[in-house]
Amino acid sequence: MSETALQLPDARAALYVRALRAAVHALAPDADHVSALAADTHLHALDPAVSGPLLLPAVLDPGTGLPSSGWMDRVRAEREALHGTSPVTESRVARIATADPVLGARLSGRRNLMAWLGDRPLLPDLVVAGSVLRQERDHLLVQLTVDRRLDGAGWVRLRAEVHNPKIGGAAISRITRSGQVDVKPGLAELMARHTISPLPGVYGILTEVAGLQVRRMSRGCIGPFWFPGGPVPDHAPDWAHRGLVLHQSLAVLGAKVRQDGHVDPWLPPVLGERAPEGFGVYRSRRFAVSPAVEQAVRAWSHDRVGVAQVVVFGGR
Amino acid sequence: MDTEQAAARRHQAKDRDQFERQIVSATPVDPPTGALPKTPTIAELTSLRVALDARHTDTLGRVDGLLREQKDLTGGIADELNALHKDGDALQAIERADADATGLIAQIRGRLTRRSRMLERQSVATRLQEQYRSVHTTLRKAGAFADELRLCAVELAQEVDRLHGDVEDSLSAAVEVEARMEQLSTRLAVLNARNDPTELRECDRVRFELADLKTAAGLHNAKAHLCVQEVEPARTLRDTVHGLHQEMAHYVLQASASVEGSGRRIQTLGLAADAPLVISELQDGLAQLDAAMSVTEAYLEQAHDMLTRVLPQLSQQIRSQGSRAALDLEQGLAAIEAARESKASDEVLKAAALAEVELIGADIDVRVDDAE
Repeated sequence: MSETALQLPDARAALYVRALRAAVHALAPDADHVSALAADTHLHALDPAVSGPLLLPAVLDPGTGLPSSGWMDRVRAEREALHGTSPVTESRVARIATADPVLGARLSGRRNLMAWLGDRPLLPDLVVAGSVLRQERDHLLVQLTVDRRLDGAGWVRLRAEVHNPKIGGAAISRITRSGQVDVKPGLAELMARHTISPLPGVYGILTEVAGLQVRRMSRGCIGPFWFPGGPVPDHAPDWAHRGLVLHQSLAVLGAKVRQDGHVDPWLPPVLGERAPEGFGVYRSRRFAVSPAVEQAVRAWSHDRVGVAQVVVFGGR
Repeated sequence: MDTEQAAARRHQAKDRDQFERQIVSATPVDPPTGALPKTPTIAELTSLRVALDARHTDTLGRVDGLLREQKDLTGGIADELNALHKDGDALQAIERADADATGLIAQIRGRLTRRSRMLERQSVATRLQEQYRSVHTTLRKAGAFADELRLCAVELAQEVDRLHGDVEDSLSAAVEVEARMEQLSTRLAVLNARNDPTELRECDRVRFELADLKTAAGLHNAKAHLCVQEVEPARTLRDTVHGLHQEMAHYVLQASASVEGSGRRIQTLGLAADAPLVISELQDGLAQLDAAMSVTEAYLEQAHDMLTRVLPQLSQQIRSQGSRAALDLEQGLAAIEAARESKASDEVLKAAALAEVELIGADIDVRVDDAE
């Protein structure tokens, strides 16, 4: 948590962001992960081709190689800061662009950024939300979701499917007509606090402490992102230094997971982990890789877990 | 005899004519190589002065507005940082109390007050995160504002440059006009020396053109003088805004680095399971906030000084420079106008006299004064 953030040279920021964006696009994360659209919007906003030098310097989280929370936050803060203000006119920017190209680029960047962001969703630093999945006469199925950008962990989505929660109880205050579930602050804080705790532990907290009936939990995580010259763990395979690799992991704990499965070649199975009675735990990991390391990643993954979930991005 | 004398006189006159024609052809008046620069009218100069005055008043108002906005922004950031710090301290106190509760009584008390402490911790941690977001947003506003200051400084620099350009153009126009005047003066001297009544029309034309050019040179010089006087206030404003931008940009850079650093810790606070780690993270985060606070305080002092001392002085200086420029211009223009009027009346009188001479057909020697 206290590691010093890494700063990319400004000239490399655009390449970095585009590579990461392409990797996210290739992985096409599903609903168990943070929104692909939000990630795409956020990353494109960081691209100096859009925002110029406005959001630089490009600072990376040394734990994951993803953009640091500070760098990502600048996008949200910039949008909120400029809300309701009018950008400097194009003609005014053009008049000073020759005299001060850096300022001209910043002002143009701000204009472009606002135009790009509009009302598009961004990756939140932390959001706890709830929604109704199914509502029948005698059955209410609610989904609680924590989306969190965490330095050292990645972009994480923790989900819990809760059956028949008591409305107005300790966990959920009400359900709106549009199907939005208002989560009580205490539960929101609890879930946020345990975004990256082991799933059986979170299950225990939700069922025993919050008194909820949970049938399925999942944690999807995007990251780490390895690239030549970027932060790569010491014990990572050699190929991690030779190409671009974005991880996308998923852990599911559910009543429908009949048999435990572990097809995550990067993280070993958790020793002594015990799923609740009637539940199974399944872990998997996919990789978006550049062509240079595709074969190496496939071979390594096969070797470790017998399968390789690899998608390639970038031209050959 | 009379006829012989008349013939001799005619011959001498013919010789003299030929001689003078040779002189004239030896010192021809070159026609102007191109049109002379357009002369500003008195009305144009007056409205230029009014426009420059208005521009400076407008810019002063803008700078004043920018300064006040700057003070509000940094004041807001200081308040937000204070609140952030207070909540950080509160959270640290809660975590420390938990960590220090080792005795039996303390542990029992700890159990009894656990729920309230948890709730308090929750709300303080949530507030911390919200305040971090808020201070980060305000810092981005400050960044946008620093860009606005820079934009204003660049525009003022462009105005200073434009004024210099106007001074240079006016002076070079005056030089061009004066060169033309010199040519015409030479021509007039020759015409005067020849003293040929048939060239009176040409003489007057040259004299009138000279008078006109003198007015033009005066107006070009007046414009140059006016612009020179406007350079200083514009430069002072430019330097002031430039200084403001530098301070603000420096402040934003330092404060943002500290706030983003502490934000990284604040955002991950809730994940740290054990109290000592939370306390250590908080301490580091708060130390970074301290750095942001001290930068903010120093900056606020500067902004206060700028608002209460520097800006009023600057306004006063610019106003007095503006009044001096106005007075000088009015006096200068009045002098040019008076000179033109007197020259015009001279011309009228002389034209009337010539008409009279032509009318009576008298062979008299009409003296033509040098236009200078």
